[in-house]
Amino acid sequence: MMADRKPTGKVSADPDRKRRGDRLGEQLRRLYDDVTQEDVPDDFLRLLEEADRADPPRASDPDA
Amino acid sequence: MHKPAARLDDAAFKRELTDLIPHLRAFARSLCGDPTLADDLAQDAMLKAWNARESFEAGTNMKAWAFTILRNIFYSEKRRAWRRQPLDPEVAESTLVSASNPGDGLDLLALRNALGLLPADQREALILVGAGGLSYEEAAEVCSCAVGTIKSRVSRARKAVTDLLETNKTGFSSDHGIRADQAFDDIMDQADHIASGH
Repeated sequence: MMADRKPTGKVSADPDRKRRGDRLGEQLRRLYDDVTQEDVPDDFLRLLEEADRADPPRASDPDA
Repeated sequence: MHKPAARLDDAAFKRELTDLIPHLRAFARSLCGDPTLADDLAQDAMLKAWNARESFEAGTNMKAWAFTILRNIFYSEKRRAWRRQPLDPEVAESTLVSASNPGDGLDLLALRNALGLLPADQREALILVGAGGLSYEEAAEVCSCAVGTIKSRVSRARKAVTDLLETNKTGFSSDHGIRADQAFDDIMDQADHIASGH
């Protein structure tokens, strides 16, 4: 939908502008990805496993 | 129209939720700053998502769905410790300054500090769309508001961060001659571009 409203060449029409946007966009995503690329602490997986084991089968599950 | 929504079986749901844990941690970190408290929030959201798995419709975006849960916890449990934590520049610095390339870290620190000064609704809109990879529509769903409201918040966030970076003469304007206001126009073009690829 967004793409329809915008000529495909717009972002790259000005190379300097595109370069600046690439750099800033990259940095905003790196703030975020610095976290997503960390190792997930063991607590998360342990808690999820415990929750899975503790749950009874779902009442609405037709195969249960 | 009212046929039951397709559901993932528990094993598939768990796999997909496990893959989202890094994103829950990143979104939580952007909301409450302190990494330990953010993980507390992310764990809570993960478990609530697991317990609510029957309400998840297969084929829809689980990231947006889980982010909604996380955000609701953050804003509803007002007495929890994470609500009292301001974004702490020293924590940010220790988190962001990379040993191999400290200059990169300082750039990111300037951006992070600017983000930290934004109103929470603007910051989360910019993070969700500009970094989290959500479309405007998905971000609106997460924040329980209209798409136009999200676009407006992103636009105001862009302007506010621009002003902060310009005022501080740090970060983007220092090394490559980048004007932050132009750069933020660019990032939203890019966000549109990313969103259109969904």
